[in-house]
Amino acid sequence: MVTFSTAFLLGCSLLIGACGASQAGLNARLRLALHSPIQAAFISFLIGTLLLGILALMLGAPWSTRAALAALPWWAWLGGLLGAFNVAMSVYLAPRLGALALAISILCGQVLVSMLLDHNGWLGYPRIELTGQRLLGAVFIVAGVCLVAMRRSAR
Amino acid sequence: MKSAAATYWWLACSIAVGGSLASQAGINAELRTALGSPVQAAFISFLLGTTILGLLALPRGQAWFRPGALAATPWWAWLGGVVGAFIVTLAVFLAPRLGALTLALAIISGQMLTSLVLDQKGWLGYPKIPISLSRIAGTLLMGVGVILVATA
Repeated sequence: MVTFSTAFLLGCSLLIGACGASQAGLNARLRLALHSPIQAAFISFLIGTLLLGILALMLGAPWSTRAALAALPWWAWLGGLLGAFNVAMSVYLAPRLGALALAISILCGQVLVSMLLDHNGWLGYPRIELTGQRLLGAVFIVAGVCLVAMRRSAR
Repeated sequence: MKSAAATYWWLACSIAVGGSLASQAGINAELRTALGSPVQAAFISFLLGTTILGLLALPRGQAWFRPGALAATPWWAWLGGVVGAFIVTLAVFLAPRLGALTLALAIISGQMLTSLVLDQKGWLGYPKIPISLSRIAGTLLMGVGVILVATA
Protein backbone atom coordinates (compact mmCIF):
# COMPACT_ATOMS: atom_id res chain seq x y z
CA MET A 1 0.00 0.00 0.00
CA VAL A 2 1.05 3.55 -0.72
CA THR A 3 0.49 5.45 2.53
CA PHE A 4 -0.60 9.07 2.54
CA SER A 5 2.81 10.38 3.56
CA THR A 6 4.54 8.35 0.83
CA ALA A 7 2.00 9.64 -1.69
CA PHE A 8 2.74 13.20 -0.56
CA LEU A 9 6.50 12.67 -0.85
CA LEU A 10 6.07 11.09 -4.29
CA GLY A 11 3.98 14.09 -5.34
CA CYS A 12 6.83 16.39 -4.28
CA SER A 13 9.27 14.29 -6.34
CA LEU A 14 7.00 14.47 -9.39
CA LEU A 15 6.98 18.26 -8.89
CA ILE A 16 10.80 18.26 -8.96
CA GLY A 17 10.66 16.41 -12.27
CA ALA A 18 8.14 18.91 -13.64
CA CYS A 19 10.47 21.73 -12.62
CA GLY A 20 13.47 19.94 -14.16
CA ALA A 21 11.78 19.70 -17.55
CA SER A 22 10.80 23.38 -17.40
CA GLN A 23 14.24 24.47 -16.17
CA ALA A 24 16.00 22.93 -19.19
CA GLY A 25 13.74 25.00 -21.46
CA LEU A 26 14.32 28.20 -19.47
CA ASN A 27 18.11 27.82 -19.43
CA ALA A 28 18.16 26.93 -23.13
CA ARG A 29 16.23 30.15 -23.90
CA LEU A 30 18.64 32.22 -21.79
CA ARG A 31 21.55 30.58 -23.61
CA LEU A 32 20.26 32.04 -26.93
CA ALA A 33 21.09 35.53 -25.68
CA LEU A 34 24.65 34.57 -24.66
CA HIS A 35 27.85 33.44 -26.34
CA SER A 36 28.41 30.14 -24.51
CA PRO A 37 26.31 27.57 -22.62
CA ILE A 38 28.63 27.84 -19.59
CA GLN A 39 27.65 31.53 -19.31
CA ALA A 40 23.96 30.54 -19.20
CA ALA A 41 24.68 27.88 -16.55
CA PHE A 42 26.66 30.44 -14.52
CA ILE A 43 23.87 33.07 -14.60
CA SER A 44 21.29 30.43 -13.71
CA PHE A 45 23.36 29.23 -10.72
CA LEU A 46 24.13 32.80 -9.64
CA ILE A 47 20.43 33.73 -9.50
CA GLY A 48 19.67 30.50 -7.60
CA THR A 49 22.47 31.21 -5.12
CA LEU A 50 21.30 34.79 -4.48
CA LEU A 51 17.73 33.63 -3.96
CA LEU A 52 18.74 30.84 -1.54
CA GLY A 53 21.06 33.22 0.35
CA ILE A 54 18.26 35.77 0.81
CA LEU A 55 15.81 33.02 1.82
CA ALA A 56 18.24 31.48 4.31
CA LEU A 57 18.89 34.88 5.91
CA MET A 58 15.17 35.71 6.06
CA LEU A 59 14.29 32.36 7.66
CA GLY A 60 16.96 33.12 10.25
CA ALA A 61 17.53 29.53 11.39
CA PRO A 62 20.84 29.04 13.25
CA TRP A 63 23.50 27.81 10.79
CA SER A 64 25.54 25.19 12.56
CA THR A 65 27.58 24.23 15.57
CA ARG A 66 31.27 23.40 15.60
CA ALA A 67 30.49 19.84 16.76
CA ALA A 68 28.00 19.24 13.93
CA LEU A 69 30.47 20.53 11.34
CA ALA A 70 33.25 18.37 12.74
CA ALA A 71 30.99 15.31 12.48
CA LEU A 72 30.35 15.91 8.76
CA PRO A 73 32.18 13.66 6.28
CA TRP A 74 34.35 15.59 3.79
CA TRP A 75 32.19 14.60 0.81
CA ALA A 76 29.13 16.33 2.26
CA TRP A 77 30.56 19.63 0.91
CA LEU A 78 30.89 18.46 -2.69
CA GLY A 79 27.21 18.56 -3.81
CA GLY A 80 27.77 21.84 -5.66
CA LEU A 81 30.75 20.32 -7.49
CA LEU A 82 28.47 17.60 -8.86
CA GLY A 83 25.83 20.22 -9.71
CA ALA A 84 28.35 22.16 -11.82
CA PHE A 85 29.64 18.90 -13.35
CA ASN A 86 26.10 17.89 -14.36
CA VAL A 87 25.36 21.19 -16.06
CA ALA A 88 28.73 21.62 -17.78
CA MET A 89 28.83 17.97 -18.90
CA SER A 90 25.26 18.04 -20.26
CA VAL A 91 26.17 21.15 -22.23
CA TYR A 92 29.26 19.39 -23.64
CA LEU A 93 27.41 16.17 -24.45
CA ALA A 94 24.11 17.48 -25.85
CA PRO A 95 25.37 18.32 -29.36
CA ARG A 96 27.51 15.15 -29.48
CA LEU A 97 24.93 12.58 -28.36
CA GLY A 98 21.67 14.35 -29.19
CA ALA A 99 18.94 15.08 -26.65
CA LEU A 100 17.46 11.60 -26.78
CA ALA A 101 20.60 9.48 -26.22
CA LEU A 102 21.69 12.01 -23.58
CA ALA A 103 18.40 11.80 -21.65
CA ILE A 104 18.23 8.00 -21.76
CA SER A 105 21.87 7.43 -20.77
CA ILE A 106 21.54 9.92 -17.89
CA LEU A 107 18.44 8.05 -16.76
CA CYS A 108 20.25 4.69 -16.88
CA GLY A 109 23.07 6.15 -14.78
CA GLN A 110 20.51 7.49 -12.28
CA VAL A 111 18.76 4.14 -11.93
CA LEU A 112 21.97 2.07 -11.68
CA VAL A 113 23.69 4.32 -9.14
CA SER A 114 20.46 4.80 -7.11
CA MET A 115 20.13 1.02 -6.70
CA LEU A 116 23.74 0.83 -5.58
CA LEU A 117 23.34 3.73 -3.11
CA ASP A 118 20.10 2.34 -1.62
CA HIS A 119 21.34 -1.25 -1.39
CA ASN A 120 24.50 -0.24 0.48
CA GLY A 121 23.10 2.78 2.33
CA TRP A 122 25.88 4.95 0.88
CA LEU A 123 26.04 8.78 0.89
CA GLY A 124 23.64 9.04 3.81
CA TYR A 125 20.74 7.28 2.08
CA PRO A 126 18.64 4.88 4.17
CA ARG A 127 19.60 1.27 3.40
CA ILE A 128 16.94 -0.32 1.15
CA GLU A 129 17.72 -3.78 -0.14
CA LEU A 130 17.37 -4.45 -3.88
CA THR A 131 14.37 -6.76 -4.32
CA GLY A 132 12.84 -8.34 -7.43
CA GLN A 133 9.92 -5.89 -7.28
CA ARG A 134 12.22 -2.85 -7.16
CA LEU A 135 14.21 -4.22 -10.09
CA LEU A 136 10.99 -4.85 -12.04
CA GLY A 137 9.76 -1.31 -11.32
CA ALA A 138 13.03 0.15 -12.61
CA VAL A 139 12.75 -1.95 -15.80
CA PHE A 140 9.19 -0.61 -16.32
CA ILE A 141 10.43 2.97 -16.06
CA VAL A 142 13.29 2.49 -18.50
CA ALA A 143 10.95 0.68 -20.93
CA GLY A 144 8.40 3.50 -20.60
CA VAL A 145 11.02 6.16 -21.31
CA CYS A 146 12.19 4.25 -24.39
CA LEU A 147 8.57 4.03 -25.65
CA VAL A 148 8.07 7.78 -25.23
CA ALA A 149 11.43 8.50 -26.85
CA MET A 150 11.06 6.05 -29.76
CA ARG A 151 8.26 8.04 -31.36
CA ARG A 152 10.36 11.17 -31.12
CA SER A 153 13.32 9.64 -32.95
CA ALA A 154 11.06 8.07 -35.59
CA ARG A 155 9.77 11.50 -36.63
CA MET B 1 32.59 11.25 -38.74
CA LYS B 2 31.95 10.25 -35.17
CA SER B 3 34.10 7.29 -34.19
CA ALA B 4 32.46 4.47 -32.23
CA ALA B 5 35.04 4.83 -29.45
CA ALA B 6 34.18 8.52 -29.01
CA THR B 7 30.47 7.73 -28.84
CA TYR B 8 31.04 5.09 -26.13
CA TRP B 9 33.16 7.58 -24.19
CA TRP B 10 30.40 10.21 -24.41
CA LEU B 11 27.77 7.69 -23.34
CA ALA B 12 29.94 6.77 -20.34
CA CYS B 13 30.20 10.49 -19.45
CA SER B 14 26.44 10.81 -19.76
CA ILE B 15 25.83 7.79 -17.50
CA ALA B 16 28.23 9.44 -15.03
CA VAL B 17 26.01 12.55 -15.06
CA GLY B 18 23.06 10.33 -14.09
CA GLY B 19 25.06 8.78 -11.26
CA SER B 20 26.17 12.22 -10.17
CA LEU B 21 22.54 13.42 -10.04
CA ALA B 22 21.57 10.50 -7.78
CA SER B 23 24.61 11.10 -5.56
CA GLN B 24 24.09 14.86 -5.33
CA ALA B 25 20.74 14.59 -3.51
CA GLY B 26 22.25 12.29 -0.88
CA ILE B 27 25.35 14.45 -0.45
CA ASN B 28 23.32 17.65 0.01
CA ALA B 29 21.02 15.86 2.46
CA GLU B 30 24.09 14.80 4.48
CA LEU B 31 25.29 18.43 4.56
CA ARG B 32 21.85 19.44 5.81
CA THR B 33 22.27 17.23 8.92
CA ALA B 34 24.86 19.73 10.21
CA LEU B 35 22.79 22.80 9.32
CA GLY B 36 19.60 24.48 10.49
CA SER B 37 17.50 24.05 7.32
CA PRO B 38 17.45 22.50 3.81
CA VAL B 39 17.63 26.03 2.35
CA GLN B 40 21.05 26.53 3.97
CA ALA B 41 22.34 23.24 2.51
CA ALA B 42 21.01 24.17 -0.94
CA PHE B 43 22.65 27.62 -0.60
CA ILE B 44 26.09 26.17 0.17
CA SER B 45 25.74 23.67 -2.67
CA PHE B 46 24.74 26.42 -5.14
CA LEU B 47 27.52 28.72 -3.92
CA LEU B 48 30.15 26.09 -4.75
CA GLY B 49 28.52 25.32 -8.11
CA THR B 50 28.36 29.03 -9.00
CA THR B 51 32.02 29.50 -8.07
CA ILE B 52 33.11 26.59 -10.27
CA LEU B 53 31.00 27.74 -13.23
CA GLY B 54 32.28 31.28 -12.76
CA LEU B 55 35.88 30.02 -12.86
CA LEU B 56 35.02 28.19 -16.09
CA ALA B 57 33.16 31.10 -17.72
CA LEU B 58 35.10 34.20 -16.63
CA PRO B 59 38.77 33.58 -17.56
CA ARG B 60 37.87 33.01 -21.22
CA GLY B 61 37.25 36.76 -21.55
CA GLN B 62 34.44 36.04 -23.97
CA ALA B 63 31.75 38.64 -24.63
CA TRP B 64 28.54 37.90 -22.67
CA PHE B 65 25.35 39.06 -24.37
CA ARG B 66 24.83 39.04 -28.11
CA PRO B 67 23.94 42.48 -29.50
CA GLY B 68 20.23 43.22 -29.07
CA ALA B 69 19.62 39.83 -27.44
CA LEU B 70 18.98 41.20 -23.96
CA ALA B 71 15.86 43.12 -25.02
CA ALA B 72 14.56 40.10 -26.97
CA THR B 73 14.88 37.69 -24.01
CA PRO B 74 11.50 36.88 -22.41
CA TRP B 75 11.27 37.48 -18.64
CA TRP B 76 10.82 33.78 -17.85
CA ALA B 77 14.19 32.87 -19.37
CA TRP B 78 15.77 34.34 -16.19
CA LEU B 79 13.88 32.03 -13.84
CA GLY B 80 15.93 28.84 -14.50
CA GLY B 81 18.02 29.46 -11.39
CA VAL B 82 14.91 30.08 -9.27
CA VAL B 83 13.50 26.73 -10.40
CA GLY B 84 16.90 25.09 -9.81
CA ALA B 85 17.03 26.44 -6.25
CA PHE B 86 13.57 25.03 -5.58
CA ILE B 87 14.56 21.61 -7.00
CA VAL B 88 17.74 21.27 -4.91
CA THR B 89 16.03 22.42 -1.68
CA LEU B 90 13.12 20.02 -2.13
CA ALA B 91 15.48 17.12 -3.00
CA VAL B 92 17.40 17.71 0.26
CA PHE B 93 14.11 17.24 2.12
CA LEU B 94 13.05 14.14 0.15
CA ALA B 95 16.30 12.12 -0.24
CA PRO B 96 16.47 10.65 3.31
CA ARG B 97 12.71 10.00 3.32
CA LEU B 98 12.31 8.19 -0.01
CA GLY B 99 15.74 6.70 -0.73
CA ALA B 100 17.71 7.20 -3.94
CA LEU B 101 15.83 4.96 -6.37
CA THR B 102 12.26 5.99 -5.48
CA LEU B 103 13.29 9.66 -5.56
CA ALA B 104 15.06 9.31 -8.91
CA LEU B 105 12.22 7.38 -10.55
CA ALA B 106 9.49 9.73 -9.30
CA ILE B 107 11.51 12.72 -10.55
CA ILE B 108 11.97 11.03 -13.94
CA SER B 109 8.21 10.38 -14.18
CA GLY B 110 7.42 14.01 -13.36
CA GLN B 111 9.92 15.09 -16.00
CA MET B 112 8.37 12.86 -18.65
CA LEU B 113 4.78 13.92 -17.82
CA THR B 114 5.69 17.60 -17.96
CA SER B 115 7.76 17.09 -21.10
CA LEU B 116 4.75 15.53 -22.81
CA VAL B 117 2.70 18.66 -22.09
CA LEU B 118 5.52 21.08 -22.97
CA ASP B 119 6.11 19.25 -26.29
CA GLN B 120 2.39 19.03 -27.10
CA LYS B 121 1.91 22.76 -26.52
CA GLY B 122 5.35 23.93 -27.65
CA TRP B 123 5.69 25.94 -24.42
CA LEU B 124 8.91 27.43 -22.94
CA GLY B 125 10.64 27.51 -26.32
CA TYR B 126 10.37 23.76 -27.00
CA PRO B 127 9.54 22.55 -30.53
CA LYS B 128 5.94 21.30 -30.88
CA ILE B 129 5.67 17.49 -30.81
CA PRO B 130 2.12 16.08 -30.56
CA ILE B 131 1.17 13.38 -28.02
CA SER B 132 1.04 9.93 -29.63
CA LEU B 133 -0.30 6.58 -28.47
CA SER B 134 3.20 5.20 -27.80
CA ARG B 135 3.99 8.32 -25.73
CA ILE B 136 0.88 7.74 -23.58
CA ALA B 137 1.65 4.00 -23.26
CA GLY B 138 5.22 4.77 -22.24
CA THR B 139 4.04 7.25 -19.61
CA LEU B 140 1.61 4.70 -18.15
CA LEU B 141 4.42 2.10 -17.95
CA MET B 142 6.50 4.59 -15.97
CA GLY B 143 3.61 5.22 -13.57
CA VAL B 144 3.35 1.49 -12.87
CA GLY B 145 7.14 1.35 -12.39
CA VAL B 146 7.13 4.14 -9.81
CA ILE B 147 4.34 2.46 -7.80
CA LEU B 148 6.19 -0.89 -7.93
CA VAL B 149 9.38 0.68 -6.60
CA ALA B 150 7.64 2.84 -3.99
CA THR B 151 5.67 -0.09 -2.52
CA ALA B 152 8.50 -2.66 -2.62
